[in-house]
Amino acid sequence: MVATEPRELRSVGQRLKRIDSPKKLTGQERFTGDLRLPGMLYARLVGSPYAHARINGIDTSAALAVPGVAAVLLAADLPIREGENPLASDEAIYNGQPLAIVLAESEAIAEDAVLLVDIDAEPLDPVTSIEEALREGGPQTRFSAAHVDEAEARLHNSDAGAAEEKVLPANVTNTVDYRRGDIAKGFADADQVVELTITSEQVHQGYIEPQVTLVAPSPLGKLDVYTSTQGMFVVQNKVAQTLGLQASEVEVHQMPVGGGFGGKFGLNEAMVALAAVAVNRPVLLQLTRMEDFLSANPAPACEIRVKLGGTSDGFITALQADLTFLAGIAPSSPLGIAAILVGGYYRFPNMEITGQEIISNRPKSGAYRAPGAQQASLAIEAAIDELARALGKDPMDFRLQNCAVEGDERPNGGAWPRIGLKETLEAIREHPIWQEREAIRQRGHGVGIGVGGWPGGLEPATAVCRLDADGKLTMMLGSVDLNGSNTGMAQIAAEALGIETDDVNINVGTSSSAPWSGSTGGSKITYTVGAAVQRAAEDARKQILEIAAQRLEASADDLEIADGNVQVKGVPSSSISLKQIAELSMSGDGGVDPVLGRGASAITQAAPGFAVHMAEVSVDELTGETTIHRYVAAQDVGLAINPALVEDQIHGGVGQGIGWALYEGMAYDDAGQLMTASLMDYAIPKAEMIPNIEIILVQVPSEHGPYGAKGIGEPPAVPGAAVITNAIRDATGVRVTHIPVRPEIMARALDSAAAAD
Amino acid sequence: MRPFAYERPESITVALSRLGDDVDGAAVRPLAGGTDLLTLMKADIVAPHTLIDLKRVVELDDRIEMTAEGMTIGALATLAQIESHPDIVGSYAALAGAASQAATPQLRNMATIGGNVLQRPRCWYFRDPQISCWLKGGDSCPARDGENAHHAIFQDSPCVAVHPSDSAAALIALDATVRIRGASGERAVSAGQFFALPTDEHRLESVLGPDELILGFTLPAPAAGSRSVYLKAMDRKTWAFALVGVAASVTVTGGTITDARVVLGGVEPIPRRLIAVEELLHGSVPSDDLFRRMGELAVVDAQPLSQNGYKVDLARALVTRALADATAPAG
Ligand SMILES: Cc1cc2nc3c(=O)[nH]c(=O)nc-3n(C[C@H](O)[C@H](O)[C@H](O)COP(=O)(O)OP(=O)(O)OC[C@H]3O[C@@H](n4cnc5c(N)ncnc54)[C@H](O)[C@@H]3O)c2cc1C
Ligand code: SF4
Repeated sequence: MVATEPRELRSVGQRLKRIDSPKKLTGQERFTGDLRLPGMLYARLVGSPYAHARINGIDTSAALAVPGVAAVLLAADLPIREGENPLASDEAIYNGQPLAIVLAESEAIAEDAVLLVDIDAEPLDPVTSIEEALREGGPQTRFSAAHVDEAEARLHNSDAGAAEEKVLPANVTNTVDYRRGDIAKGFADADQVVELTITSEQVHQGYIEPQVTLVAPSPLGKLDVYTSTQGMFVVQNKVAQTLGLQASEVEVHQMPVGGGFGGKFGLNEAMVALAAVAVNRPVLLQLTRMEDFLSANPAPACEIRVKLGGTSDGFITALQADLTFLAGIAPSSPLGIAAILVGGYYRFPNMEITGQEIISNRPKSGAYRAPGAQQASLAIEAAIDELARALGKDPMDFRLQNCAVEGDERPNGGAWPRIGLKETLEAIREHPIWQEREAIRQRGHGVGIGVGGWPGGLEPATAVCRLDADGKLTMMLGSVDLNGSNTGMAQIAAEALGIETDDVNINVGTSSSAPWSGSTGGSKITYTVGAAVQRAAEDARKQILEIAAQRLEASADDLEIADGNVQVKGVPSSSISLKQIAELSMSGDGGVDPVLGRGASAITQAAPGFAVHMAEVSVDELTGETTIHRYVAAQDVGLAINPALVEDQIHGGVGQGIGWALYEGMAYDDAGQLMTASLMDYAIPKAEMIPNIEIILVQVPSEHGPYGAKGIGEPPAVPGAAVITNAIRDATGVRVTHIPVRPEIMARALDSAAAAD
Repeated sequence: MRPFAYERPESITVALSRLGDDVDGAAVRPLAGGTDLLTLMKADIVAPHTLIDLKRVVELDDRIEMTAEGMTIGALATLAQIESHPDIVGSYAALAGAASQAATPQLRNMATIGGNVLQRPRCWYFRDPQISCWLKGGDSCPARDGENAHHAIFQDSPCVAVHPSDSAAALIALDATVRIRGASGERAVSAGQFFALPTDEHRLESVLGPDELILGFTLPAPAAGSRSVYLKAMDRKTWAFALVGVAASVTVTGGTITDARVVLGGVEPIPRRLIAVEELLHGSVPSDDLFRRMGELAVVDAQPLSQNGYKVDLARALVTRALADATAPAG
């Protein structure tokens, strides 16, 4: 628990404008792709034309002959010391996998040369679907052994389930198995049992700025890495390891991130560093949108079977769930998180959750805002709705009767800490749309609700601050501002120190200079780095008060900071300004230590966050088109450090949820070719597809976060698909079991329902 | 993109002779807004060595003019000009509707109507340079047994792609004429005849010769009592090609339908005019039941592929709805 004096909050809780906005709005912000260095080469990738192929040879001579081409690098040309080669050499395992890097004096030259690289490849059978992967005697994803990267999974979620040691079928890399009670008895005791199989497609994070990295060998023998990343320290280690360097020989410059959403935890940095070192020149690689679709790290496709039983007095007796994630070429799916959340929102006295992760000839999967949670929510919330209907219960009352509260056990053991699920459900219950849903139904519309939860991320963090000569505070951080979080940090620091938010500068250092704070994601930055910031500012405050106490000949306990001055409480005439204190601490004869505040946090208790959303929809029965008329998002945010920024996050999350629900899906054909490799074919929702969003903030304070704050980034992206499919069910009587519910899918579902009648 | 030369002639004779110089019909291509041609070049689907920019050619223009005989639209008129022109909005609603629902505002500012009717299919196999397909000169059509959710539901060509243009269906429904100029002079072709199913010998969707240019379109003056609509079903509410589009123009005189033209888009490689529906509508009294039957009739010959059966339902529903909309009391 971070100690705070009981006083009214001045800065925390204010709706302040984002401090990063002016530069971005006026085009002044410099993103990685804007950087130009003397001697810099532009890289373009030559991708595998096949999802799975034996590479017999690559002829680069014609490409090399293009004027302005500096090099065409193959796997063997990269000075790799450790780990997997980022370029494939004899076996290509997904469509678009980099096989060669063209380096040229301009982007256009590089692109022209790419067309001239001749690949002699022999296609092999690919694994492109769950059925293919599990078919006995079916194809294998690759011949060489897969490479497991667990560190990243841990980073997203402190609770990721560990796989047991056992022999798994080919293409299956991981399993989970959580049990509780007696599942057979649970179903035997049930008055109604419902069973559903829910599928969702592979989805891209849809960031505006594609993956981009610039690496420059410095004349001092180090490597400068400029990159759009959520994981500057992870990148530092990975690049150093790959090239056989000391971490201190690699300096990662945290560049502004034009959208990450979990997709930017280090993808191409090592490859670009290898290329830069190979030619000893700076190299910039900015993926095209198509390359990003083909070769970045999207969220995996998933299939979840749920069976749920309940009694006529409204209690759930048993949950059986089986999850299958279709990861890309290496295990990297959020199976563990999904399994925990499927069995986590409600009290399930008897439970059996099993799951498996399958690898396939698709690009390696990555995290996407609340990885695993969307899929889990969609499945369990559909089943809860159906069970409530089968039992003749109101879906809201049924949820309230069964929802998890503090102390209830989670599937992986361990009880929920204080959570605001029930309060958030109640907030939605009181909303007029829920109250008037009968009248809404009369109009042919439907109302659906759904829960979205996130266990919350954890990672220790540090922050350091300094009182500047002008009496302002500079806070140094190692986390990146993805969403306005630095504005919140300034508010926390201002609050803790007792100054104005405008008087706090936030300064994000490089991997060599910044205080360590792990990666940025998992809804943990305000929660953990924010706590470190609060402590650093409190530490600075203590030092400032001590200096002032000396000067004012008063006890530090009798001092306060107000209007930029330290003064004896209630006696403004006896005061010294922060500027004077700073000057004193920086002058030769001042005799006092310069102010340097230090804060660290190693919180071990995550702060789970819950969102409950509600939508009013209608479905055009002829065309299958779904229209969302109204959308309400309630969320327990602990305490909103900056309500405007929290609402911002909720708006974005709802938009992404609507994308999952109605539009987005990466389609591959049987040969493993990506069919939706452009924003024309891959449908991210546009402004006019997002309804007005009404927001209700519920505040059940966390124990450990700064001022009671919780992580708020992931939960709003979770319930969308569940809410919209439940609303569609309400409007049409038809349960769609696949997302995205494109008009064609809706039309088919309506047809088969009509045929069944 | 492969290197190419760019020329900007001011006379149509020069432009036509440059096109005529090209023996294989693919090496010298006219350029209008470039929104389709440049995308195809960037993806390496086509690779002309010379582009002839049409925008300075004095004989070509973007004029939209209403005369006693009807409406003339220059080939260079943009979709943005068309969707906002008061006479088109007032008298040729199907065309204004088709233009306004196409692509995005940015694209519509660049995209010309001449280029729009000549754009190539969006079939993802066609647009993938690494895949060989019949329309691109290959032996077979991978879409037939592949990913065909967006493909044709009528099987009259070896190719099962669909025509992507919204305005093409509207132009046919409005009985437009395409004015064409070649080396040997001008000719006029009805919009219905301008599009032709691709065949082994001619793997293109129109009868326009490689050495010809579209000058513009002429639409007859609307008959008293006629109304037209364009309806478009999409994957998402905007920025998408039609899953199915329907353009209908109906004239009602004294409570009876005296003329009707109904055209489906998104159902085969060219817009599909529904002659049988039109004939039955003639002399009928508008009613919901009639329109429902016309919806059924529109799809009697449909033969959907493995993944696009839903399009049959869409086509049926949209035809019914379009006829109802085109004959509903104004208001
Ligand atoms: C993202 C995206 C979404 C789109 N969505 C839609 C949509 O929903 N509905 C729709 O209808 N369209 C859509 N389009 C297509 C767009 O409308 C067409 O690309 C555009 O109309 C083509 O016009 P242009 O002037 O740019 O043609 P260009 O690209 O310049 O030319 C296209 C073709 O026509 C030829 N050509 C052009 N003018 C003449 C002429 N006067 N005489 C002879 N030949 C000529 C060119 O040689 C070329 O072969 C979309 C396009 C994109 C990129
Ligand atoms: S549908 Fe036509 S364009 Fe598409 S693959 Fe088949 S032949 Fe080619």
